[in-house]
Amino acid sequence: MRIEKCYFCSSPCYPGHGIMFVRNDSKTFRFCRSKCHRNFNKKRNPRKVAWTKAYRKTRGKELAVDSTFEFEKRRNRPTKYDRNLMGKTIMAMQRVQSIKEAREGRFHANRMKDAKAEKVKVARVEIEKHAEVLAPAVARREEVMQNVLDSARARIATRRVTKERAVARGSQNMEE
Amino acid sequence: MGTALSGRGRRKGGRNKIKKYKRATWLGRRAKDTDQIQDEIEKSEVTGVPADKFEYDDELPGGGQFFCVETGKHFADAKALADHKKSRYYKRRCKGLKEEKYTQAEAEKAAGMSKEILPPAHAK
Repeated sequence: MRIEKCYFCSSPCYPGHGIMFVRNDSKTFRFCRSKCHRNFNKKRNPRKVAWTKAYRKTRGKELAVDSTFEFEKRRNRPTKYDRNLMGKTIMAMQRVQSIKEAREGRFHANRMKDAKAEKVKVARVEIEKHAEVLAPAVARREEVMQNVLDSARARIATRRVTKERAVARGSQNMEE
Repeated sequence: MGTALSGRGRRKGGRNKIKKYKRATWLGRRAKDTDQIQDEIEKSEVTGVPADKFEYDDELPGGGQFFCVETGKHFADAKALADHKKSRYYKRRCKGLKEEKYTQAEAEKAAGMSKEILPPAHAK
């Protein structure tokens, strides 16, 4: 039993899941779920669909070149069963996985390092570009701020009054 | 539902969307995939046999003499073919064909999987 990779999103296709399409030139395409199948039917290019692995790796959003990717292979030559080798392989798989996760985490942290500053920068550029949209609000800034403060004060005052009333009512009930 | 469009333009709505999807993905008359067309173009470049030459066939539009390789469509006459080659659909398809072919191998590579390469078991 081999767990194939989805043609569209590159995730594993487990037995009993997804669908296989055989084109009339006898080429086979495996899909992990109907989402991938439908997107294939719509003739979309997986490289241009943002949620696929192919997109994320080609855009440098995920770790793409690393020595930990050298272990998982399509091996077409069977190996004779050997208990020791099996045990060692399983141990190695766990070790490789932990190393891979650490490296991916580091890659992500590194990529996100400047993200916040970049976001602020982009927002600033956007504001400068479309300043005319904000201009009326800025011109009446004092007035708007005053309105906001007034309404907030009014809200607080009403809240206080209702609270006092509730307290008074409560004490009346107690007296009765 | 199910009646022909009576010159009222496009219909909107979810049901129509589903119908469009079904019609587009119906296997009976499935349009060629990008990689199939890329294969055809490559093959014609290697062998030198033009990919748009067909023997006269009554069943096909224009007898199969006006074929567009990039979109895999037959046209009724030379003018229809020329008009098609000016269309946005054709130009967009040409742009898509220039890109590298997407294969299962690439999907596997993106998943962090490669193919084991060994020396041949039975050397010639």
